[in-house]
Amino acid sequence: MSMTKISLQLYSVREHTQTPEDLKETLKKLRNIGYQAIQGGRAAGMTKEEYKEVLDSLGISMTSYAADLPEIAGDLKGYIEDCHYFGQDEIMIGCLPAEYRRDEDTYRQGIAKMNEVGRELKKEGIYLSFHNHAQEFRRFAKSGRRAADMIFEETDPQAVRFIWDTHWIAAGGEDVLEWIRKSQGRMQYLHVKDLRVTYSAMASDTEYVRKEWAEIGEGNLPWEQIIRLGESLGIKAYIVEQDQTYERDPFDAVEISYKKLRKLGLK
Amino acid sequence: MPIGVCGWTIRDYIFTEKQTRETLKKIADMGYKGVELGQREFWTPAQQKEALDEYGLQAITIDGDLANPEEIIKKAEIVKCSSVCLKSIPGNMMGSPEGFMAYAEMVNKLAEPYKGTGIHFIYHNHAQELRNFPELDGKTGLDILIENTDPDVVWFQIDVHWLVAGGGDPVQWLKKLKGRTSIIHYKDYGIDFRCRETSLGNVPRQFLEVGQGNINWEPITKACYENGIEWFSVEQDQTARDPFTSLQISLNYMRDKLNIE
Repeated sequence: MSMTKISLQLYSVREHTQTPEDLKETLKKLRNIGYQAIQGGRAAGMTKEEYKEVLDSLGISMTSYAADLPEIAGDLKGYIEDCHYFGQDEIMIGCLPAEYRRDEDTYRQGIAKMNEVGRELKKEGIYLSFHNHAQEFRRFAKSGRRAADMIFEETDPQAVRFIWDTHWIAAGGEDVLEWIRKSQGRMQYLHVKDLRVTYSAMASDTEYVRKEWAEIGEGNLPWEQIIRLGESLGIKAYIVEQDQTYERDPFDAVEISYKKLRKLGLK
Repeated sequence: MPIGVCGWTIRDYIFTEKQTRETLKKIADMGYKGVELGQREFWTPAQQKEALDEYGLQAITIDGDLANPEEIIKKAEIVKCSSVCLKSIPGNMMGSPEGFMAYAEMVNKLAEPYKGTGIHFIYHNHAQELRNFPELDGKTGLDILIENTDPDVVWFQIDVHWLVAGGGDPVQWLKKLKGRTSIIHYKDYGIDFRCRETSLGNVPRQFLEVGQGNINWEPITKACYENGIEWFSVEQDQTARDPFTSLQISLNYMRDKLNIE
């Protein structure tokens, strides 16, 4: 197993992972770019044995497993087996399902569900990880609290971890460095993507902010500080994720991010 | 460092002399020490200075026609304020590095007669200036302005909300602008709590009172003190409340929680 610190969430290249042939080709391309680790879930049309063989043959390791919360809850045994099989001690959910994102009460139910599922997983040595968006930074009128605070404070530290997303923390108006810092001990991995402001036809309207997902270093997030802090806190891997790459080929985009992370001193 | 009010926050309450006096009294009574009022047309600069003195308020910035240095310098002396607001880069120049360069040149020309006078032009950013140019490895328009304008005259007024809206880290920008900034705009950044649960990609950004949103003010405030910021100016472009109520909320937070005084 390589000990690479740079990984890729396969969502970034999702158009090219939908069949076993595409996925194999994609993993080869990623390995050629330099990636030696990925984050993802089950592979379409492949058994886990077949999938592991592909990964092993390319020398690609995993940096946590991923699935939706209802799927994990509905097939706990299967996901525990998967995690064990791939040697993973963490499984990430990309978000809470929409029905939990309505208000404070539903978030509380979502947190209860994460704790319940997380505790079941933890019996088998696996953590459940939460991945944020900007939405968790809205403040509820009643209590003045934010979903992000509730999730941070009310999930079980023994069972639930965090994979914060740099772009979405910044898009929420929050301080990326502060969230990394305060999650020490509950975070092994960080999702990295940049935030860029771009030209639009409404350029003269100062109110209008056209925000884009961006390759690492092509936006405005303070990468040197982020990596320095992450390294000082023992982050195991920085997982590149780019939701959209616009005119650019997604493989070119993730290559730019890979190279920038190397330039920042990661291997 | 003292805390003041940016006139944009109270723009609907400064139309007549009577109304403006009431407004100045209100903000002075709250505890604000200064204001960015802009030249009121019913006052001469001397009359405006007199009115500000009456309420114990200082002018944080002045405005006027920068192409008329004689008048600006005179006004600065009368009002005892050397920071002059600079107009934002026009929309049609924002699309390219060349546009930002052309604007920088334009500003440098305007700045020439002000060299050595102690007057500073103050450029206030929005998110637009954080636009990244791929052909310059992601460098921003704001970088182009900083690097290509005369550091003696052309200074910058960081607007924290808009920097954050552009993904910028205010602490890093404050470090970068050390020596070229003396006034900062404080307003918070929130996500609308009514935002739809289904739209994960959507970011409904809000202007909020300082301390009511998501900006991490403590490290920013610390960086302001390290930078030597002379004025904290509260700007809130929109509010769901009465703007004076909003100003009181911001001031309380800045004094009580951030220990700015």
